[in-house]
Amino acid sequence: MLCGKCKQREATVHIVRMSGKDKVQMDLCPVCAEKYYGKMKDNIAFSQEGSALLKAILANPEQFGIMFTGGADEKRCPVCQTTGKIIRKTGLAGCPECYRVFAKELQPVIDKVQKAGAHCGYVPEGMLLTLEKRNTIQELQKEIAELIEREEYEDAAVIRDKIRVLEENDADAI
Amino acid sequence: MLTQYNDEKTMRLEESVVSSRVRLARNVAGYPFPGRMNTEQKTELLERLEALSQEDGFRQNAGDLTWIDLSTADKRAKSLLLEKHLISPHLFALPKFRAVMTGLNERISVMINEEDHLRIQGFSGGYDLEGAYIIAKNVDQAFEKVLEYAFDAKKGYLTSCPTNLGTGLRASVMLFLPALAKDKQLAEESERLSCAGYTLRGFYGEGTKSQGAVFQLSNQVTLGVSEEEILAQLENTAAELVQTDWRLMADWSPAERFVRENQIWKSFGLARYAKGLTLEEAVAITRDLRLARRMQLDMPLIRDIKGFNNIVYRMQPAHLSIDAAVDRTERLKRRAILIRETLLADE
Repeated sequence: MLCGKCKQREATVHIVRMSGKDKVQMDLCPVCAEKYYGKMKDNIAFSQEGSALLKAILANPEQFGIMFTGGADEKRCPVCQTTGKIIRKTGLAGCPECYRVFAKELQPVIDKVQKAGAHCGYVPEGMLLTLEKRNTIQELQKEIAELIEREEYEDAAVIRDKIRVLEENDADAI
Repeated sequence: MLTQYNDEKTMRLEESVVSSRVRLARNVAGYPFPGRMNTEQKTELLERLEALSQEDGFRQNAGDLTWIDLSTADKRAKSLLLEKHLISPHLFALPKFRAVMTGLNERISVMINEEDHLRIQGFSGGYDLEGAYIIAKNVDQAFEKVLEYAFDAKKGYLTSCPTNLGTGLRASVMLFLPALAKDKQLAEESERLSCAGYTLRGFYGEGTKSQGAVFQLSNQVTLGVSEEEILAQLENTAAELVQTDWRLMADWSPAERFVRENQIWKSFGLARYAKGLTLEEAVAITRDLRLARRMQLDMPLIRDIKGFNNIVYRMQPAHLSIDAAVDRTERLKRRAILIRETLLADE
């Protein structure tokens, strides 16, 4: 097959692109393909915002070495019913849970558009408390287990009440 | 007297940064993001937030914020909010189930049900990213006391778009870059900045072309960096760009200088004598009057650059129609008077 652009060289690169609702297939020779990618790269470099870059990645994940396939389009978030296909089209997650459900698909994308690794900024005050509380409860539960093993039930009951108070406070906070 | 500065670098920054803005993207736990919310959820969240905004405890922390329901606001009011950047074009176009809270002399705005449940924005005139951040952070913390945010220890604040994860913080500065605006180096700079995680785009008009020579520089990366780092790095990048711009100006050939000076005098004539001005003409005039001040030309120069920064807003259509719905001709006239009086006040 001849290259669709120069119509001279053999087409060895096959690109499938979504243009609106239509699928556009391009069969290009390596020379024209490189030019095409070069143009794409420029477009991306001049993208107005990061979200445009994200959309470009999601529209052509393979070009960026990202696989968004293997049934990801059909996968559905149980909380907000958003599918992989919707995420790919809008560039937006449907709800906080989506980040867990689509972790495998979204993580490489996040790695491309963000710097690296984990959040290292501000943590909401309430969150700090909740995390701390969770840790405290876990420690108290361990203590209970030990007390029960030693058959010190009265002491265990005291700690059980302590946990109850902590958990009730938590419910109030939310 | 022109403003006095402590050192050259500060002087150049103060002369070049038109305004600073910090935006925090936040979502309330327990709801899908706005794009995937149904009507009941949107209404419920709106009502919940409106009730919250009236509570004494919240008001004590956040300050007095006015709640504006966008679905019932008239077009002129919405246009005004848009011109002031208090709402986004997205909210302007689709006002249903959406609201905005503003306060602190319009230095704070909270957009409700935009791409995220809350988009908290702090604004500051001139070179003051820290000031803008403090304003936004204060309201953020007020919400934090009464709402549970969608937050993940590793991904930080969970946002609709993965480009806002982590801090959810987008900071931007408006930069006046008259030399770079017309230089072939602009494309190069934009690309370099993009690779380094920044976006540079024209404030007026499309893409990187900028009629008013005013550009918006903002951070792209929000995850894996702290708020302080984002602000400090953006400040450094802005300072570098400003230095590049002044260096390019110093290198202008006599011919280039003549072209600029000639343009400035033409604009000066328009500013002084025109009976009506289009927005495009006014944008070009403000650019040239700013440049005249920077080049220290022997002519009446703007004295109060900070006051002059407000003109950018005041010459827009909705601002010119604040007191009454006026037609296009009246707006042209009002714009010309605004520019002329600003100039005369300084002469």
